Parts: sequence; structure tokens; C-alpha cells
Amino acid sequence: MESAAIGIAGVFGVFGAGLGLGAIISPEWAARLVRMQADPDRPEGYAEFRATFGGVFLFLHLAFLASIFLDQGVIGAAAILSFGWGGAALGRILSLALDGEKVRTRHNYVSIGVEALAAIAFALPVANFVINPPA
Amino acid sequence: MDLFQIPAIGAAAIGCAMGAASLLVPRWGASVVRLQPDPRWKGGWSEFRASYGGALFLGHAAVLLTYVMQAQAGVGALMGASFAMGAYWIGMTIGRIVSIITDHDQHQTRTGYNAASVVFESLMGLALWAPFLAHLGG
Repeated sequence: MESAAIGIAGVFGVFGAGLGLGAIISPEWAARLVRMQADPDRPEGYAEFRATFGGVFLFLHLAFLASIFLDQGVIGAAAILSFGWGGAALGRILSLALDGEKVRTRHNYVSIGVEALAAIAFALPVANFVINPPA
Repeated sequence: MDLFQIPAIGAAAIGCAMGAASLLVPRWGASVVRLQPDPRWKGGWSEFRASYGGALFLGHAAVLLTYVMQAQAGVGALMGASFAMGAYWIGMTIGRIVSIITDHDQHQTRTGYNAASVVFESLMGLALWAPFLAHLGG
């Protein structure tokens, strides 16, 4: 049970790290994915695509994968990723409720589905730990 | 409280506050990160409440939760949580440094704002890594 939960979360860990690697290599791709651009009056915001959508995704998910391989702190790292992905879904749902027609797009509905799925996958090792605590 | 947990808890509280602010006032998040929705596609505005709001808020909240629950979850859980969140900030620093080096000619990324962001993000990352680094040091 425990290894299956960690295995499923690990698959999403590889997925998240892949997204981050893609954004670090190609920030234009990341910008299209999140439907954003740098503020024309403050173009240095472009760095955000390699920083937040690249480095954050890559290293956060690598930290989780490292915790699996080292068998150290897996539950804590999985909790962070579950809360993080869940928080993204929550923020997007709040946006759909508060920000009007401009955000009610298929992109945002699909994103909520992906983020909720990732949050559940990373919650599996935590739930297993709570249900079957180590002796 | 372990002395090395203090910087991690402080950084987690700062991250929580920043995420909550963008979750509730996305215009603030947009002004901090200097991005705006791409007019070619609808929907980008949600990212300020999602990636910069909810993800940042709940990610750091999870660090605080593992601290509060360390009697049940163990010190290892707090170390794993703060290590992962530290990797979040250190990863951001690395991505920004890559952008400062490679994107400047086209996107003017070599600015005081990005340099200051690198310093802030590094400090947040190291503060969150403090329990792990202390553990490595014995």
C-alpha cells in the first residue's frame, strides 16, 4: 500500500519536474502554457517564466523525488506538493468565482482538473501515513 | 523549539502571507511579479490567484502544519517539508539567474529588481533549509 502510494506520487513528481525543465529550457513555451506575458512597461518580469514556472517546478519536484530515493522526509515533501497543487486549484476556483467571464475558459477548467489530480496523488503517501502510522 | 527551526518557521510565515495576499488581491501579485495576462488567450489572470496565490499560501502553510504537528508526524516530516519548500525558493533563484544571463538581450532581465529578487529568494531558501543543513552538520 505504502509503496503504491509513493509510486503514484512519484509519477506526478516526474510530471512536475518535466514541466519545470520545459519552462527553464523554453520560457516562451511556459508563457503560452500559463497565458501570460511580461508587463510591457516592466519587461524584466520575463525572468518569472524561468524562475517560478521553471526552477520552482523543477527543483520542488526533484526534492520530492530525492526524498523518495533517500527514504528521508517523504511524508513532509509529499504534504508540501499536495498542498501546493491543491492551493493552485483552490486559487483558480476562486478566480472563476470572482474574476468574471475573462477567466471562464476551457484552459482554466482543465487546469483545475490536472491540479486537483496532482494534489490527490501527492496526498496518497500522507493519507497512508495517517491511516497506517509506523509502529 | 530547535534553534534551526526558527528561520524556517519565519520564512514559512512570510511565504504564507505573500501567497494569501495574491490569493485575495491578485492585482498585487501581478504588480510584484511584473506579468500580465497575454491578450492573445483568455484565462491567464487566474494564474495570480493560483500559482502566486493558493500554491504559495498552502505550500508554506503545510510547513507550518508539520511544525505544529511534529509530535505526531515526527521531526523528519518537518525537515522534509521545509527542505521541499526551500527547494522551491532555491529553484526560483536558479531559474532567475539563468534568465538574467540568457534573456537580457531580448527581454532586459538584468535589472535591480531581478538582482534583489535573487537575494530575497536565496535567503528564503536558505532559511527553509536551515533544519536540513543543521541535520547534515550533526
